Amino acid sequence: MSEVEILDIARDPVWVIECPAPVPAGFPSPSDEHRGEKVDLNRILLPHPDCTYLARVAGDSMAGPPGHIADGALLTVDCTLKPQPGHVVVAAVDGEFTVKRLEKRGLGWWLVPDNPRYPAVDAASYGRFEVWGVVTHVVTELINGKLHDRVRARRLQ
Amino acid sequence: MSCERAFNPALEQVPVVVLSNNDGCIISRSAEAKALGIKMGEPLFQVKALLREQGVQVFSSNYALYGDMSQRVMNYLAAVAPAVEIYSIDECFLDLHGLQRWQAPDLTCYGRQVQAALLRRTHIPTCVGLGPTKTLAKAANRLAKKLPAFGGVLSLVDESIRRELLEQLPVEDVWGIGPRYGGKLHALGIRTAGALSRVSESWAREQLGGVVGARLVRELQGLPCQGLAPSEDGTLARQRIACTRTFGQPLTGYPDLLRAVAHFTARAAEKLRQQGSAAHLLTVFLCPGRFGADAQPSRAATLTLPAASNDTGQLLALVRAAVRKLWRAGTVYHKAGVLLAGLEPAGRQQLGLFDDPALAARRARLLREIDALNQRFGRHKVAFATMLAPVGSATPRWQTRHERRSPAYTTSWDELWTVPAAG
Repeated sequence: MSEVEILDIARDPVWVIECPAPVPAGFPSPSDEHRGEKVDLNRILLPHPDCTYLARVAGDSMAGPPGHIADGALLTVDCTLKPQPGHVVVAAVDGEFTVKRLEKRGLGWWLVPDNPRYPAVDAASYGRFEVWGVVTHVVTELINGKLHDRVRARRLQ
Repeated sequence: MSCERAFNPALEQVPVVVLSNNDGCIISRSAEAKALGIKMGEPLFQVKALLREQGVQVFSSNYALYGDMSQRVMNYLAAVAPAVEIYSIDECFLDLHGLQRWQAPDLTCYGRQVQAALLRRTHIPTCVGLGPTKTLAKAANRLAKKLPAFGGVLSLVDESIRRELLEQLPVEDVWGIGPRYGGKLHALGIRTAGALSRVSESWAREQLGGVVGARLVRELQGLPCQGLAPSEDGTLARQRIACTRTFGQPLTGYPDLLRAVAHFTARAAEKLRQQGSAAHLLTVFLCPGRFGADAQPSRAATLTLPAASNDTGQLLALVRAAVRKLWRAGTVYHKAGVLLAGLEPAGRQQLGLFDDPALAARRARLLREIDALNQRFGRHKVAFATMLAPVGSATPRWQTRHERRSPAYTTSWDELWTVPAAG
């Protein structure tokens, strides 16, 4: 099956031929002409590299639904995003960092762990409370690869 | 200091200081540490007792972290201002010409926006000084730091405000007035920046070292004498590259010294290649101790390269010649450095009459490979022989001490920032 699509560009129409069917040998692949850029994971995951930081998680208070952030996981933390209810954030509370889910209960903000074995805490109960950044991704490797070595290695010390 | 705080909220509101390379002197202080009377540049051993008594948090310089954070700051500034001149790791000039008409009619307000954005993006507090000349912008910045009422953003663009506030700036705090001229001006009855801005040009020429002094005064009056010096291609490439260290232990022997300087050369050449430049001028300097029995003036040699180069091997040959010329038997050296200047884009050099273009291409490829290997396996894993100690000898003694360094949170997998997710 072939499909012909007319794109309206400037004055002359441009013909783009899409050819999902196998092409006979010897015939130059028409798709060579339409190869796009390579997909760059960094560009998708880290749109603001200058204000994104990588962090390793220590502890299992977020190891539960829906985040499932395991002890030792790698986080990407974006500092330009405005924290919204439901975001997982890195917060500075009373001189320490912690990673928790931000929730709005009534008028106040709460820091809620995804792991049900830990209690939720009212942010107002802290003397100092500031959201440092919003966690945008959790990088989890499902095979023991390089990232696994690097992120786990230091945890054992 | 601010970088340390960005990754350690426990440091908020407590006195913090950062030590120079080699844990020698204090080079950065938090406001709380300043309030304790700790001075800039004070040697650690002189204030050690005070630091312990007051519970001051002390850190070695963590240049991996500071460099990365500095770059994040500069990248943002380059995106929001027409032109940027990076003056040092924590200072830069922005050219805001043309911005006022459309984007930012109120420049003070623009300064506040930039300050707020930097705080959000990097958690680093900044001070913004605005002025019609670089000297006035520096003065505004100084005043913004000093006078908390301005919230860290101050404009000296308006002439009446400028007249009033320059009276509050001591003359020795003016950019370009060192302690020596500061003392002299005080003796002559000129105590503030305001008073200095009212002297005549000929007087300044006579008393402040000729044309430099005259320019300084004109700049204080709001007449620009020095433009911005951004890199020509609009990238954040540096104009000069230096690699300077104080040794962990003083060195005397020629081989030790050459090895140390060779390391600095390799590092500087690597930086040169990273930004795609080649250098015309090479300066090597050796500094004997500044105090006590070792005290001697430092000596430097500047060599002009036949053609601009970023080839570590080629530079090392010249460095070896320079060190041999500078080194004196029996002198105790505390510090050395390599400075590369006269930079131009690499690959545009005119070849000498007897140079072989094929050889040049092979050398360039070799260096690319070395850089790639070192990037992958760690700094100086592949090194030139000049840099290496004889087999079986002890670890190099020139390497710097940094006993209280914080982790390289943003640039090393092994030291990556860790966030607790406990209770």
